[in-house]
Amino acid sequence: MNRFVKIFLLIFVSLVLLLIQTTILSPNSGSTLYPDLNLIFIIFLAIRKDIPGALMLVLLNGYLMDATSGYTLGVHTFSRLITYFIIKNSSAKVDYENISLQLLAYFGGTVITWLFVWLIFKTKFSYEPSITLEVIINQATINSVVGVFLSVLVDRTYAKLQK
Amino acid sequence: MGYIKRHPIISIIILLFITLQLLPITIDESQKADPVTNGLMRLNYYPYKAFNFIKTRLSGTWEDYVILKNYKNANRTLRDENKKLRTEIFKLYELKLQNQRLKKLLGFIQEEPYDAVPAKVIAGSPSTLRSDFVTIDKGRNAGITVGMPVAVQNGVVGRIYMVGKLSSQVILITDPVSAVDAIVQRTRARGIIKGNGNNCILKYIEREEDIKKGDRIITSGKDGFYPKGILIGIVNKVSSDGGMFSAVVIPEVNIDSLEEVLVLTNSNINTASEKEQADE
Repeated sequence: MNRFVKIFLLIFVSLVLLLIQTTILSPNSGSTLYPDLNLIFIIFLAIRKDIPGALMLVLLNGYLMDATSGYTLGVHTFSRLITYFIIKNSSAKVDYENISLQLLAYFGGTVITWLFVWLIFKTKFSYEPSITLEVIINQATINSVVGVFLSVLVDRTYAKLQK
Repeated sequence: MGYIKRHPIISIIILLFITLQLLPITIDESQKADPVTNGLMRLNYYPYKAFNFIKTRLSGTWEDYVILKNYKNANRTLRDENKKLRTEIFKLYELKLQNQRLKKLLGFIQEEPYDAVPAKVIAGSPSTLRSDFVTIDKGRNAGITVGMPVAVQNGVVGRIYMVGKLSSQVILITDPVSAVDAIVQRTRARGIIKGNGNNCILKYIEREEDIKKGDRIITSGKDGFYPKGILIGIVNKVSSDGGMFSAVVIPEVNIDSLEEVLVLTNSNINTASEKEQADE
């Protein structure tokens, strides 16, 4: 597949994920039972080696989150970018083909993201986010299960398309 | 990318430092939409509307299947009637109290009606970090501007945070950044309603004021945004907060399941400020 077509397709996927996240899977106040599809997608981009324009897609996805949730200037963008860099760097040493390591990447990625969000709030803003450790662990668990499921689904679909 | 790969820890620390420098210190209650966000809001508008249409249709079909039509109609009529009566009771109670105060003062206040634009909630926030946001299907084209109060029949919802051409974002009263000047309906004790993610907290109530569980909290109209006398919620718990009282307030509106709202485009507040501007 052409590089530009791939990038265009991934941008389209980003927008579809955002649409799902803001409608069917919009987290109501305090709810933690929904996966963060945007973050799952960013971790997916980080653990894959063959995705063109991944960094640009990470920035775009972070911005989409900021623009639709009231943080126009970047809490999501930067925290997710940092998570992307950490997982991307670890992918040089860790084989993310392994399912259990993928689970760990989605779980760890979610925890790291929230850790940075908490750090940004603690040092910058006058109030703390209403996010508890329990919420973070729940979100990380859901993200890791859904993330691995979607990864396997994408792999199988891609393999079928290749045939 | 090469430098990042060679020095990952330094790169992340630098990035975090830049992040902290770039971010603003405060998060405002309103925001001007930049061109990209504007474009994004416009791009999402039709998919949101389409999704909402499908959702409404599906839920409508399901209801028709499950509930017998006669029962459904009767139920709807009774509910509407109940809503109207509740609103009427609330208005009458508010009028009674107001009347008592006015009699004492031997003055009067000329109330002007609200102009309201009905809107549908078409999307929510995608983020767990800040879930107290919704998108409505009315924007600049419908005369909506930043800061306008948003309510439903039985209480305050929030206010307009960002306006696009076709849609707008609403910051709900449960958001930690939101602040509403409020009074206790029974005793007229004044405080500020702040969101805490799930409910609201009424802060800064003087020690000598009278407030108890079950009290109704209404807007005071003194914050320049919300018109006076709209119900916010009911006091659930009162506690001591330093030298003052604070109270947990459960919003009267079910914030988690908003479907239709009213944007108050010409409330008393707006009229009053316009008059003040004209006088100047």
